[in-house]
Amino acid sequence: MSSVKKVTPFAGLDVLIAPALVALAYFVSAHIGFALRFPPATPSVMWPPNAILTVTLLLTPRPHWWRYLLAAFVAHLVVELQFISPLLVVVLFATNCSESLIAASFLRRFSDSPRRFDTLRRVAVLIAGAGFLAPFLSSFLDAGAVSLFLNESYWSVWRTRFLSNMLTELTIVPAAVFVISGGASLLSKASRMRLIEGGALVAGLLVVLSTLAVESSLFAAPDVPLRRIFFLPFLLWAAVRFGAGGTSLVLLVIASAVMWMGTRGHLTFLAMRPEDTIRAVQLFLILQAVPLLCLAAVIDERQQTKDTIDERLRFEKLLAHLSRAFVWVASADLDQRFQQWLKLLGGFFKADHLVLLRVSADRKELEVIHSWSASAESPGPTGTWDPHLSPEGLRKVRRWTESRGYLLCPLTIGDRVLGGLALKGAELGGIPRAERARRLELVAEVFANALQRKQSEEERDRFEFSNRQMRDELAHATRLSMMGELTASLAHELNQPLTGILGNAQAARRMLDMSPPDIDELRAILSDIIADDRRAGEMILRVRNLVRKGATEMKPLDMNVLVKDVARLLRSDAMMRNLDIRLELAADPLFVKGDHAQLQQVIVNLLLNAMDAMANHPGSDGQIVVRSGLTADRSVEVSVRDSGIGLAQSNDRIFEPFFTTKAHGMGMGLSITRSIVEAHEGSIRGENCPGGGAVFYVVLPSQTSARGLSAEATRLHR
Amino acid sequence: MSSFRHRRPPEASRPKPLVCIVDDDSSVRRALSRILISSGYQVEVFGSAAAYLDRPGAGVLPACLLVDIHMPGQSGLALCRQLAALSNTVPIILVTAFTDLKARTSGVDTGAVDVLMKPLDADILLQAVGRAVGHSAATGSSSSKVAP
Repeated sequence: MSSVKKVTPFAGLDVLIAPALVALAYFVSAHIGFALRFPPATPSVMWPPNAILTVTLLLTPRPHWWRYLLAAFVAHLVVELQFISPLLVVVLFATNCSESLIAASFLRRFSDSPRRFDTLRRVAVLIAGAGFLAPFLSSFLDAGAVSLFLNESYWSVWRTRFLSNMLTELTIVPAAVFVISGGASLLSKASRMRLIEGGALVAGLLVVLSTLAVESSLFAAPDVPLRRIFFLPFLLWAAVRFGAGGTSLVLLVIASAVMWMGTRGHLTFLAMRPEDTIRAVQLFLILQAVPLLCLAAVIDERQQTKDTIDERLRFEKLLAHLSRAFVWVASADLDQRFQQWLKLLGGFFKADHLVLLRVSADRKELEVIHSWSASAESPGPTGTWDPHLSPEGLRKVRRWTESRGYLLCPLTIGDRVLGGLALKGAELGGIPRAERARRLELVAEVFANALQRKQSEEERDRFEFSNRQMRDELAHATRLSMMGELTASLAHELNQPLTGILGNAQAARRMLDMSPPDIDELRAILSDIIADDRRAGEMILRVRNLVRKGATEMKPLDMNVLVKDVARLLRSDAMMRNLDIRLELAADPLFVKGDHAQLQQVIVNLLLNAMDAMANHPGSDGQIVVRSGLTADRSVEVSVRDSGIGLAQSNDRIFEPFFTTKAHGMGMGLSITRSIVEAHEGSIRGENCPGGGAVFYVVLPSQTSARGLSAEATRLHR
Repeated sequence: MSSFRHRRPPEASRPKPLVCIVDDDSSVRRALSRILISSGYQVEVFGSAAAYLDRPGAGVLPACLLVDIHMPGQSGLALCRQLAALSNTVPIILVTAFTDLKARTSGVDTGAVDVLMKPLDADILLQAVGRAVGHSAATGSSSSKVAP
């Protein structure tokens, strides 16, 4: 896990390799320390091993410290045994260790994040603990040991050691921690411009340093302090642009270079002795380091605050977008929108996975409905979320919980759990966990509303589907019973062509007995037989289409063709009742989109109704007029007018189920007719005619775009 | 309404009995007339009751009238009643494609000599027509020059 990595940067290394590396660093830095001294004085003007140890103790967990201290001790022995007595070597290591232990313990005790120097408080703790207290206290022991074993002046040793260690702690610790714990990732994440800027800073610094080195070695110039001022712009640059880490790196470079020059006698200051000059320079650098590190921290802190506010504003903006995102989305597009927003939010939260859950149909478990994954290699979870976490369990979670390593927020509306939103693996660029959870809760609120909408629309769809199924079944059942009423007239319609076929065939057989048979007449007979056969077939097809059972099938249909078909079907019935169906249809095709059988049923119902209304009605002229045409708003209208008894009831009442004025019939006809018409997004109304009788109007949306489909529709009709 | 007359070349000296068919279905008209002609009858066909009533008065009175009961406009039954009112003596055979008994019995009430159900078998048709023509010859109606 990434958070563990941060605690121990050496964790990835083998238990032996990391201490070995520390030993090597100690060894090398000790040699550097030895090089930077004024023999015969024991203390070095810059002694990096202690700072290296401090860094090690800061970056490694406390239980492993002994391992690193042991490794450093070995390096210490190897370096120092060649110069001084073993006892002093051990004592000096103890003093070195004490410094690092004091520094590391102090930082761990008083800093809220001992490995970061990006706030004023953290830098202050660094300066107080590692920069002052540790070298201050440990130097008493060190000076005591050196003066005891080597007869050097106690206060001289203490002063040299205190100043040099103070400088190394202040320069090396932040610089090394910065480089080890975040340097590599910072470098890879840095923009091109930032890299160029860093390069320019380093290059400028090197130029000034080398100029100084060359000049001071050539002339032992007396105006060195003036030149030293040249460093200040670099230090300020680093402080303003590269934080405490960058500043301490620059300080380290400057201090190392100056100390090196100083110990080589290239640095003179107002004709002071070289060691006094060094001390002055050390003091000067320390006095610069303290305010500069503080300045860098303050600027860092300010930048962080700005970043936090910017980031928070970005989140607020995202949330504002999100809260609108589901408002005007068609229900069919909701799923796509969920997926889209999981991706957006996952990217924003820098998450590995973001998963949307919902309560399963049986309300027993939570199931994944959408998931987003940052990388294709590790797809998000699917199926059941966690058998041990029931929706009821999730309901009890007030705000958020941990589940399967995810941060999980329940999606609730009131007291009802709809699902959950789960997020995994986000560091969120330093956003505190509580803040992350709070944000997820806000997002969850929006998702809960959207999910509720999705569910209620699904329920509505299910309800509509079952409703539609029932309507289809009922329509079919009434079509069947309607066909029962029409049996006699259907038999008539079939008997006509059958009479033609039988009569013609028998006549043909008689003709064959003649000599010579009349071939032309026989040919004419065969043509008549074929035509009659087709006529019977078409009639059967009409009946079959009408009684066909199946789901509603919406196709472009020409209402004129449909009306003609129905009129043909009912012709015999009308004839039997001495009625005449007159068609006054529009010249152009009138396309609507509808179910063939159901729309036929509408017309059959209206015609049968008209015939019933005219039965035994003395005022009837025996005429039923069916008209078709376009209304003012270009809808298709079919009207059926009779001269029967007229409507006794208001318009709405006659369309109610079980309403009938007939001796026979269930009163379902007009009710079903209306439900079919409405399912076709049309309307139906009935009214009395001024001269007696009634007229029914069916208005259906015109399928004007289907003009090009006319050929197709005609083909379908046939 | 158009009417036409199928005639076969004269084979015998005796004039063949004339049968008139009134049916709105042209295919049925053609089929029935072919059967009758092949059995030696003369046939005239009419597409509606009105067309028959418009038949030129100078024509030979038919020996038998085949009328479809259900036709648009004036029905076969109405035609029967109208002819009865005109003291018609031509035997009428009613034909129907409806299969219910009511159609059958209602026909007889109007004075028709027979009611046949479609589809018609040629033998049944010829027997019925033969009977009617025989009945007609017995009453001598076919010689009458009274127009319908």
